[in-house]
Amino acid sequence: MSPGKKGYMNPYLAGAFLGVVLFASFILFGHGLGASGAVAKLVGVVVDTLSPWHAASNAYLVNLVKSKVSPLDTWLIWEILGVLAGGFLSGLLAGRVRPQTHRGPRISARARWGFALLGGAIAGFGVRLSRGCTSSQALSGGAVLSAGSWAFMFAVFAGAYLVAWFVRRLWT
Amino acid sequence: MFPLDLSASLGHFWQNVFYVITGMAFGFALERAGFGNARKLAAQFYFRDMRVLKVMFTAILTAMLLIFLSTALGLMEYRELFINPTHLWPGVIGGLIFGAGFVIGGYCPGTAVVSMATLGIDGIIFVVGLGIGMFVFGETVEFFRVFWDTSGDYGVVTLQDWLGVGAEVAVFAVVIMALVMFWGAEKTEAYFAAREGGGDE
Amino acid sequence: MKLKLAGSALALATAVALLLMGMPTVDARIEENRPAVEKVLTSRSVHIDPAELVDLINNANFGLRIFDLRDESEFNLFHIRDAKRIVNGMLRDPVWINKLPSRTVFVLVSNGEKRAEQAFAILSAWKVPNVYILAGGVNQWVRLYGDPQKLVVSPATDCAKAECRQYVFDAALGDRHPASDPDPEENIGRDYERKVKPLGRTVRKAGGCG
Repeated sequence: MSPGKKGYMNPYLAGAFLGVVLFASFILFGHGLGASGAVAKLVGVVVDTLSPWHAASNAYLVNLVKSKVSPLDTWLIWEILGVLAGGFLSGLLAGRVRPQTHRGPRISARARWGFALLGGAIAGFGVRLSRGCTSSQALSGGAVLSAGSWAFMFAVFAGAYLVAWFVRRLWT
Repeated sequence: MFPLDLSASLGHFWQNVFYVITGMAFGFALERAGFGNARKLAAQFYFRDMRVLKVMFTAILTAMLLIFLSTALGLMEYRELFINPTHLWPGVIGGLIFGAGFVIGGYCPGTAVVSMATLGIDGIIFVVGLGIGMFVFGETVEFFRVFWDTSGDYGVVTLQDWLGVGAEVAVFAVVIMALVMFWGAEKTEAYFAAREGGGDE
Repeated sequence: MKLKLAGSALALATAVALLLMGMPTVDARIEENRPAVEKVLTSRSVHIDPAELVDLINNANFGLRIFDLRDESEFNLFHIRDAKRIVNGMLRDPVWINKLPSRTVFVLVSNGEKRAEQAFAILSAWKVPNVYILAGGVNQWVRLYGDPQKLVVSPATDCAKAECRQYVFDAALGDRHPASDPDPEENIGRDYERKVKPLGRTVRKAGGCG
């Protein structure tokens, strides 16, 4: 599979752009970017809405919801809304916005959906365990040389490469 | 002097506006790089297209150099920035698990959101999966709470603290490492492209 | 290809420049901060009354750390309960600084105020928030809560700054003296100006997805 560019930006250029955005975030807010935290907050809010008792009895979820006027009024949520908008804009400009399922040539869309769910669940668990995702730990923590973040980053690549061979049918 | 304190100077509303704008730039960059497409992301782990590595490390390099340059010039104070505390073993094990989920599901949280933004159904499903996984974590964490809280809890430790060198030495080492990895990535891509001969296997 | 070479060269050049420039050291920052710190110390806005510290010990709903800057022998002789002895090496160690808990008020204690003020300058340079100094130090504390017979009046006139020990105890009981944990009732009727402010936001905000 040759990596057809199709209007995709040179990865080094995209990386440099991303790096500048990351730096801007540090200058403006004193911290880097994040993503999984937004999902985590949503989970907390959903559970809290469905069963406040359950949320209150779970020490971990309590932290996510806290007694604030609106637990969703946190920088992570505002930022993720921006990510949605920015991603949409870029996709729109490049004509890449349409209902689609990205998958390898040997697998059906439905199967892909199943694996997306499974992969997401595994990733969701892992992300909470490591207290961060590629955006918050790897990119942001990496840029400020946090030792734990670098360890996390290498572990992510290791975990992915180790499992990749077993799921190659998904992608190749 | 940076970092700024926007909520104090501009108020909560405008600080949130800036968060949205920053997020937009973030999402835009990710989509430009093709990261709204799980197949492009996964290609990294089959040595076809090493763009995940290239984008991530270029981003880290750029931000890192800008941060430390600003600090050296007295424009910013690096120690005032949020530095992720190190919980070593939860981080490593969580990273391995997350990496597995990444290559199975095809996304990480940020890129999944970008996929959602371009109507990637697999992206939406991945995010739902994320929620489930996080919920399961919340339900089960009490069983290994001690591990999660205290294992390898070294607090805020930077690479330079760990190595016992000055920050600028760690920065230099990271730059060298990244450049070597870029070179390696290019060579790996070329090797596999030549092997494939341009056709799908 | 040219772009990659240019980018790599730029990155490398920056890294080398950083190696040559070096990062600003703590001492440089302390020097830079000196005028501001002087101002704060002269206005005595961070020197808290012993009664306020007793109140904090008994009532605070936030973290409290009492850091004792005195010599080990003096510390073993007497110290406030839960006070921790710290030394200069710790104050200059970025790893130690980064481990300091957030949402915590730090109170610096020495015999008088001199060592506490020096430590205050260093912690300010590290931008650690919510740091205060025990006014009059242990000397004043013992004067208020200790047995008056245990006090030795020092010949020096301005002992607050000079850090001489104005107290003597029969036995090195550490924190087992009654004065280590005074009864707040002893402070009834003592007026003092409250100086500890609601916790300043830790500059290193909780970012990330944790």
